[in-house]
Amino acid sequence: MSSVAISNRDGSLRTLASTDHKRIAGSACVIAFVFFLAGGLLALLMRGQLAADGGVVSQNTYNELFTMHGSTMVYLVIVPVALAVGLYFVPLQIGAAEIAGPRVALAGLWLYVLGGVGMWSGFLTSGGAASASWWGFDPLSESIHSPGSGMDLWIFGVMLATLGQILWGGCILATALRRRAPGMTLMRMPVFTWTMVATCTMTVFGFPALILALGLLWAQRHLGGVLTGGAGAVDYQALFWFYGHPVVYVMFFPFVGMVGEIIATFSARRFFGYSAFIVALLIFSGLSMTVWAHHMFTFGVLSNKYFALTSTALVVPAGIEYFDFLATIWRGSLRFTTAFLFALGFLVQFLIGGLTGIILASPPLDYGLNMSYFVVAHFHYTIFAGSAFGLFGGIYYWFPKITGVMLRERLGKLNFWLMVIGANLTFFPMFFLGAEGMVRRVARYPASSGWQGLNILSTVGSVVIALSVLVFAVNVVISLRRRRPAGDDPWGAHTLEWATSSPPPRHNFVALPPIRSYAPLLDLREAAERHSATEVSVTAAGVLG
Amino acid sequence: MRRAAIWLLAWGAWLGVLTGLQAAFEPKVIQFVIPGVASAACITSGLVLWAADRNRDRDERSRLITDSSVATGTLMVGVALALVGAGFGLWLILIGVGIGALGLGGIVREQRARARALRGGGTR
Repeated sequence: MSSVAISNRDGSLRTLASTDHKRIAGSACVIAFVFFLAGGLLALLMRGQLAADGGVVSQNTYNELFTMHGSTMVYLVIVPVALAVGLYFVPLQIGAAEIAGPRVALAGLWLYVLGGVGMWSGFLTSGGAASASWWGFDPLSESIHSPGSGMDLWIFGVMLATLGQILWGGCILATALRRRAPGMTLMRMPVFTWTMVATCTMTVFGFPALILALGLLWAQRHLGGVLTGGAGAVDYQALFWFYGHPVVYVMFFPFVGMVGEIIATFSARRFFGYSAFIVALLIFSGLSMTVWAHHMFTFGVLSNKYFALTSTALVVPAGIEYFDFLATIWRGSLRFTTAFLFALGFLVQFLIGGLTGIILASPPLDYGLNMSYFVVAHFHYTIFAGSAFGLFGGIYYWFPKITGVMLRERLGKLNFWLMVIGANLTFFPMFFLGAEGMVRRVARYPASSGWQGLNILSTVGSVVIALSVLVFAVNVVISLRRRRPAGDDPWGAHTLEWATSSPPPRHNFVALPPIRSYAPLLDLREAAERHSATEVSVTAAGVLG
Repeated sequence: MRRAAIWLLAWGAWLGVLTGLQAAFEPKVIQFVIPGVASAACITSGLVLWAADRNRDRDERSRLITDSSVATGTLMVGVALALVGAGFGLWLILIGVGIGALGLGGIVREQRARARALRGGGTR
């Protein structure tokens, strides 16, 4: 199947009106980076407040800061970027000329942008932005406790952004399932594409619960009688967390896929245990839709035993995936590029997040740690020290394909080490703060608590993270200005996206290589090596003969 | 291509099994309803995909797609304004509906251009 474009627009509108999946994804990534900087700025303000033990902002402003920081990072940064990378690379990895439903994907971009603008415009209202946390905490988010249009704008903004993400999820899923090139069977799809299939399945069938929950919340705020009393709060949270836990895996699986591709490429080995990985992914993604009520252990109204069981069972597929990664690295010809370092950083640091998750999956322990900084440390280890490291690995890996130029390795390694130091300095002290009883979402704490030292350490770490992001930005600017051409395949990679030019043409491929496995380029290289080895042995036999 | 539906069917069934397992743990109704609906929706999608692909192994026809679509963005701006208007008043809903109608008209125009291009057998 081929695609032909009807070109009817030129100029500045082209980028935001383009139906090319690569342009849509590129726009989304750039916009997400702007939101990332904005969300990061809010985090720095919060850290400043806690290092100074109050005095920088009021409690109400602090509530707005953590609400908008969390909302921005989840709804406007990590999830959209995870899906946008899939939007860019899934068609390329499966040999498709185009994304399925390009206009729908473009609609998703607009909804995402409008949703983000809506959420942030709350800061312009007289009552300020939303302040009821990133999950809109009913009854705190009801009109009595959160009056003003900031909360309404947050509700509509999140609904729009989420709707956009569902549209993207549907497009990527349809592409992977229906637009594969000849020879690209399901069991020949690359690891990253498989993780996107799992991610998008969760997006399409899990995210609508959030839209329903927010619709009910809006109705409760303006009409009343929808989410009443304790039962209303439980219903809202049940709907929210049916989105809110799977979204953690939407922010995880794509980066697992990126790390898998990076590890296989820079270990110069075929990905170990491909089939087991796919089965683990199916089990993992299904399980992750049935662990949501572990966020509600302390409510004591849902089946804690069941949710503790499913939450703990997650270690089995996670263990299989980790085993596959380590076995791929084992005895490989390792190249310690920046992308590979970030991938290793992901593996080590996500493990810390994952292991502390097992503690929180146990109701008796969760009762003690719920709402404490231990939880903050746990999810920042999974989302920042884990997924964001996977993302940066993916950026260093795929930047040459997207732009046609190489990022500077020396600056990349500086970026990596600063980020490792910053992330661990910021988030590790939070485990101790949480264990000592410091609760989340407080703008001040007792001077006698002895928590200021750890909070200052954490704040210093957040500044180091900001510095590492600055190094990354400088690296991008320098690399784009003083261009070092990348060529089609600068890494000796395995998958189809490296079989086309960098950047890829409008319809992705001029010609496709034969596809006989999930690593067609590796197949070609191995066949060429076998061929040359045969020639050498024939020549040697001739000489000896 | 028919095998593509297997993923959705397997995933939906696995979610259904996990939902059913809750029966042994004295669950509340909402615990069944939310994942149950998601599981049913996934299985239904898988069945629809299976049926759609039943008589068609592969679509080898050329596809004509617009290179850019300002109308799509316009429609989404309209939808967003109409939605936000629910919280800010009828005036904003009406503006949103108006802009949305413009966008919809633009999409119809793009589709007609596509149909013309297909009839002409070329591109423009």
